[in-house]
Amino acid sequence: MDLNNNNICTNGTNDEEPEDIKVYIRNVVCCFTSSCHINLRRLALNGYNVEYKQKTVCLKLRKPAMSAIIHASGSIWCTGAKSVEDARIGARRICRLLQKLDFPVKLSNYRVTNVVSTCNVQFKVNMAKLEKLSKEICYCPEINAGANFRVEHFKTTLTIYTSGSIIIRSPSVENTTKSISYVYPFLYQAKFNKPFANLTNLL
Amino acid sequence: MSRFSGTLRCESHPDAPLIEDHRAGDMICSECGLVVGDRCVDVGSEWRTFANDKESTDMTRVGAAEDPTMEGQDLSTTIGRATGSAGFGENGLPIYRNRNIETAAEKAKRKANREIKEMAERLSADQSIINAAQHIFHTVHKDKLIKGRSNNAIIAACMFIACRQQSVPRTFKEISAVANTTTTIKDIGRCYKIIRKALVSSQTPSSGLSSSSSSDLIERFCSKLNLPKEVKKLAFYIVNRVNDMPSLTGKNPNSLAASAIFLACDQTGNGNLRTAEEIGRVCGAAENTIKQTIKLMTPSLDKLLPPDFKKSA
Repeated sequence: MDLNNNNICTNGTNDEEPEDIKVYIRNVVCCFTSSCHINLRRLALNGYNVEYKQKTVCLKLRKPAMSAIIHASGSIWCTGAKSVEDARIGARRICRLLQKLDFPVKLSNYRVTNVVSTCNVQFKVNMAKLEKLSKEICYCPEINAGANFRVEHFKTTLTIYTSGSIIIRSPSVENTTKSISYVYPFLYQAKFNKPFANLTNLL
Repeated sequence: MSRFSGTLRCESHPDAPLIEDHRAGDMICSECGLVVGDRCVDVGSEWRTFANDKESTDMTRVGAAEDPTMEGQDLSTTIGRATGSAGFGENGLPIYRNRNIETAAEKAKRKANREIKEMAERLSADQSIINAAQHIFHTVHKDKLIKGRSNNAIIAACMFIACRQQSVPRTFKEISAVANTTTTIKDIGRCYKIIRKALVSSQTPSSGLSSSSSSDLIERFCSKLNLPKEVKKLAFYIVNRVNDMPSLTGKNPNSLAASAIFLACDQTGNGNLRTAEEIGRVCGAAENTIKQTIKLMTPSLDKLLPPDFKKSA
């Protein structure tokens, strides 16, 4: 399984040397249509690694490890790919599979809809400070330990945890890197200084 | 006493100011004491209303106060129910049937208002919180911001936001305990996020929707546990210092508050001891959670406590 390393050089605003943040893509969701109606029953009876439930067929590929949900209309959703290239390869494999079962398949309208990736900014983030920095940040410790940062411009949601790990959900890899660069200054401002750095007597 | 102009004045002293006698309703000339005008109508208020008099009817009003959530529907009039014999027909049924046609939206709003009131009673919340929650629900319902979610969850989320806006935040656990049994904290949380987004974008930044910190909860939990002021102060201090500790930031504010109270009780001693179970029950945190959090706190205990603090055995 390839780990897709996108090294971003971000200039930490007050740091001496730039830091490289490695972004690992965990999941790529894509969808396409086969441009033909698919007889799900025939597919379920003759296909390999196939489950038929709730009016859809769930087809699991072994390499690249992906699962596809196939509707009778021909629209297919693939999830589980570990990189964008793998997603494309998997989509084509599925179409080939369907072709072998004598469906007149033509892969069309292929698009990557969702890319889930993780990264770590290598410093601890102070949630209370972070929350005040932008209106787009929603932090409810009672519900979720992480703060949700919705960057509308890139259509990305980043979930930021105190340890510095971030989960990024975005429509494309490009958006992922752009939103990380966008968000990094906020995180840097909300960096945890040495614990108990400000000794204010609150009594 | 003929008047050439509209203004009253004494004939012999036209420039003298007139004194108004409220009790008799007279206008009296200040120079000679002549009663110039009588039967002056007092335009002051007939009834007095006091600030703590919320429940009793305000006699100075003619008709009910305008309800912003009704959007002008309360201005219309309806024909009332039949009282005398003329209102009923031969078979004893009323001649005029008041068909109260209520749209689904109004029905939902009416039901929501009732729910909010019930919830507020269980939470011992003020009238202002009820009004705020009803207003929020009205905004949300009018703009159809939350379409698919169950109404109970929306109502609970409105209640949550209203409490927070009035600076008496209630935790999600408390709200879900008081709301309809089918609403989970997750549902309320989801609705809260959606409503918050809408409110934040439409209102000024000072809408008071910052996240609830543990310090807001300390006050309430301490008084529930009947703890003295010094314990409260100490717990407050600890909780504020905890914000500087990275290992404890992601924790549930309930458990942080509970651990702070436990530590404070422990440090002050003197019969303030409460078991972790007691504190947990009041705060909505499990006993084990409190113990785990305290384990994380004890290494830096000296930094969490105020510098001039002496442990009283």
